[in-house]
Amino acid sequence: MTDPTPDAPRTTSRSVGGDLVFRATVTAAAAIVPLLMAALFIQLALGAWPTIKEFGLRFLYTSTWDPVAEIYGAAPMILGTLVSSIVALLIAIPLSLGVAIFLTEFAPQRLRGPIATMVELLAAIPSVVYGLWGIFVLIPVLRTLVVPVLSAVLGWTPFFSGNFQGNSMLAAGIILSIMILPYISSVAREVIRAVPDSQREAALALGATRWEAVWSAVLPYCSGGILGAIVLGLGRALGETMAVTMVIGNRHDIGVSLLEPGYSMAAAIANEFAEAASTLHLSALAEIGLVLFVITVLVNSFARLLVWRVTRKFGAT
Amino acid sequence: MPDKIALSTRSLTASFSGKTAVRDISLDFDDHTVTAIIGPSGCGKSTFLRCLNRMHELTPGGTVTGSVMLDGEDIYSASSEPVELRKKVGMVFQKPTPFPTMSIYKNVAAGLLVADKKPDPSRETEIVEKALRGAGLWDEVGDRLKSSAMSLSGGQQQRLCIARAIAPEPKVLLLDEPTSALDPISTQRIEELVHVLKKDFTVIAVTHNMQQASRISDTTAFFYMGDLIEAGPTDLLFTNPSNSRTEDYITGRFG
Repeated sequence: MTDPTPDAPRTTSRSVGGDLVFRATVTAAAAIVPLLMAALFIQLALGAWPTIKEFGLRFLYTSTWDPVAEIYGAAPMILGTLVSSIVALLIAIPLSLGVAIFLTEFAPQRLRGPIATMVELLAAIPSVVYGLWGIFVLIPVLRTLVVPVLSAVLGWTPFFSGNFQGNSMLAAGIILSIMILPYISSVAREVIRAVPDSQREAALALGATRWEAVWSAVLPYCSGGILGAIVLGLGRALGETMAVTMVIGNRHDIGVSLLEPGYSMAAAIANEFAEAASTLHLSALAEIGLVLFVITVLVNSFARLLVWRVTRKFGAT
Repeated sequence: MPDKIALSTRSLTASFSGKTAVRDISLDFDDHTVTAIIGPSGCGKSTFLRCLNRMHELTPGGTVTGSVMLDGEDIYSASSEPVELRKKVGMVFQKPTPFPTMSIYKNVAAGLLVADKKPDPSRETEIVEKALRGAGLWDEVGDRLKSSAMSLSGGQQQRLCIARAIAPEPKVLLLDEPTSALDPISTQRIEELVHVLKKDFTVIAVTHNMQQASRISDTTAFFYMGDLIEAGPTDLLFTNPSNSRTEDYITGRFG
């Protein structure tokens, strides 16, 4: 290293050393994520092992939940999670796609930013605040305005029969729909924006109206990504705990009517974990956690895959 | 064959957010002829074309003044509907733009679906076949109409877009550099097709390729910096241009 050329060797060796340290640090940081996932899964599976051994698959489809007699069946919670999430999707899909289409295709340029930000701020409101809002605002409104109409029009179907009891599947589904709306609409906005303008122009040049262009050219082009956005919202809805616990009613039975209380997996864990005394009760809650974990990981991976396929395919052009 | 006039512009000026792109163009397009619009990049030739089916005003900041007469009516008059107009003035873009989720058949039929007079199924099949024959594509795809439009080559996709544009039987067909994304063989096929298309339509084609302009067109208009410099019969314009800038451009001194 005597008389080196002005800068080249020294700076490269220095930056190589720095690079190595930096690289090792970020690699370690990145490696922690999959390791954590694996550790979570293993821990849950170990914790759930006593009930898995005791009840096997019956845990998933029986509905007796009796900590005194040490009999555990999680069907009401599993079903409750699925039903409340589906209700949420039914409400949130048209709303959030409407928002996304309006913001990308129709809104005046200077309104787009502010409205998009406001929609995304919905995701920043703490879950427990949604829960309180559900108890003090949503449920009274449902009781006085919405349910009487629903009962009158759809009361003959099993889904809206019976008496409204305030805390209910319906209330949980509606709260969830508001909570997942920002997720669906912001991802949908991304994928709609990724559709090349040439597709819109091609449709417009054929004499399509703006709406026809969206419907016949834009949406089919990005339908995979839209589906991904919806599944992502589903993933959010499945795991949501606090707000749902506050308004779903926490009842260990399978009811068909949305006006009646129900239960969800996340709510059961949150409610009972502190009181669970026996090993088997704790294990049952861990198994619920395991089921929820597996379902949400699968749903989210599927959603990411769909979104990724669309943005990769069209991001390149 | 200069018979009657299909389309004409009077004092057409187009701008983007106040910046003029095309200035005071008055030009006639004869029925059943091919007009080529040539000029260097940024001369406003594509913008001019997009004024003829009111696509320019869809660009943010795009405004148009002047008039464009079609069938004795100004397409920019208050009573004129752009959506209706675009069924009479078809357009094909630079890059092929088939609808990727639709089959070959559905792509051609898409031109009719949006035209509100949706034909019954048997009539639709006829129209699709006619359009595909018109675009010289029927022999290649007639036996696989249900396959995806994306299974076609680039040149075939562009002819599919031509089929889609002519399916509603427009009066005028606008081609915006229709071969610039294509290989030489596909380009040649499209050029041959243009000769056939003028039997049924009035064709206005923007091209940056002067050889192409001289091969396909009856009339050529030369644009420069947003102005129409010269327009006339193609053979005359290329052999004996009256303006020195036209001469400089076609002899390759700039552009």
